[in-house]
Amino acid sequence: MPIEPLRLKKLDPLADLSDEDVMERCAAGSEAGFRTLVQRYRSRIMNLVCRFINDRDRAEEIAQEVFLRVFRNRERYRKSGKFSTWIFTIAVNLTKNEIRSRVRHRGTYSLDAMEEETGGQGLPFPDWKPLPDQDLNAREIQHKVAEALRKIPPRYREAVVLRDVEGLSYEEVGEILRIPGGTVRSRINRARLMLKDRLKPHLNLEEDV
Amino acid sequence: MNCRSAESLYSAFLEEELSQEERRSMEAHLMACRRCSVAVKELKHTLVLMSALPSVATSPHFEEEVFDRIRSGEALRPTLIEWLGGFFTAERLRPVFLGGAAVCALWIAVIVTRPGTFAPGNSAVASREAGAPNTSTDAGSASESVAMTPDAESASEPSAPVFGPRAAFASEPSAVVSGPSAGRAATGDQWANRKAPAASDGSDSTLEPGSRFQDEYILDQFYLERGPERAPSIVPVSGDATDDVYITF
Repeated sequence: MPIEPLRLKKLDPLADLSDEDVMERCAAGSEAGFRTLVQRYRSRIMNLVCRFINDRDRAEEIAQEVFLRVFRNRERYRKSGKFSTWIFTIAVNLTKNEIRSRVRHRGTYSLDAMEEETGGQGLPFPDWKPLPDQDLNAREIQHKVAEALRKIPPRYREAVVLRDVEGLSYEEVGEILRIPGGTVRSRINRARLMLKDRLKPHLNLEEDV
Repeated sequence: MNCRSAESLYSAFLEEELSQEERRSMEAHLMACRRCSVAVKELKHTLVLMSALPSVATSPHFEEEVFDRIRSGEALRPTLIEWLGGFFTAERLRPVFLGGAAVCALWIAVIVTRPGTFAPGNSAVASREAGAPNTSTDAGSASESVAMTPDAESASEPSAPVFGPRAAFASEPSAVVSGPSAGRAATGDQWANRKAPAASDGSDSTLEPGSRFQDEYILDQFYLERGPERAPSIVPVSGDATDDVYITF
């Protein structure tokens, strides 16, 4: 079993290259390079967009659009910047446009209406199946976390999602959101406090975390 | 350290981003403050829950759909913003800015070397110098200018006073009226006839001093006002101030 990934790794000549190097090949016309980038980033982009707008179908369309824009603007990419920052900036901008467009059409960004779109189930999980009680409890808590995340104001949500869900550095978050480092830290701390207050009933302080 | 300042450092404390001094101060505060101590524990647990959030998977056809959209040419069509972004690049804008700067420099040079060339109202002066009949300051010329031909009107159009200084209007009252009024008189427009009875039938005598009467728009640029006001911006139409017909600007 452990041999298979090693063989696959050897077969993929781009596997060892950094994102920036792969993007450079993509800009030079390499379809394999672009495919590698799609494979590396599709889950992260989908996750990011989904956490922002809570509409899986639309999130998938936006995630595809992100990659189309990467392809369309591949010659404009400058290797001096991190590829992840660039692609996340595109994703955040497209998601913000989507939120703005929803506000414009509905007059307000209604979280309840967004919840209706997903049948009140929050984000659907791909591996949904009957679970033992312990897993069911864990899933319920995950649902509560996702719900709490949805209910904090967008500017705090975007910062905390980039940091705590996507695991980006404060500097990258600041670059993507175009806000100074102090503001990034303050927003993320504030967002976490909001989440903590919303999740208070589900926090088990007896466990030593 | 108080609770408020400690709260703003919770995240930095958990992520070990505080300086040694800040950390010691924070630890001392947490030892003394149960509320903050509990809050930090809750926050730590929240971060654990956040990190345990499952990722949302894409559909199995995601990759192929992206490539299908690229092959269909959809990916090659730039959005309006992208198109504009590509159009307004520094390379493309540089010659435009240089050209604009050159034109501005030339214009400033002309203004400096030949002052008055583009001064407002200069065209009126030029037409008067050229002998245009409607620009006379003679009191009797008002009635004469009303009878101008359309050709004469077109010749005097550029001297419309709207763009000139008020001082120019005060010195050339008849020029103000003659352009538009002459053409209208020639084409049968009776606005002049509408004011004429008011001025000639003696109805002015019923006006009370200081009262304001109905204004009549002529060209959306100025209007006639009948009344006894005599502000500096009000110019007698006929040069005869006693008929109480003025143009205001």
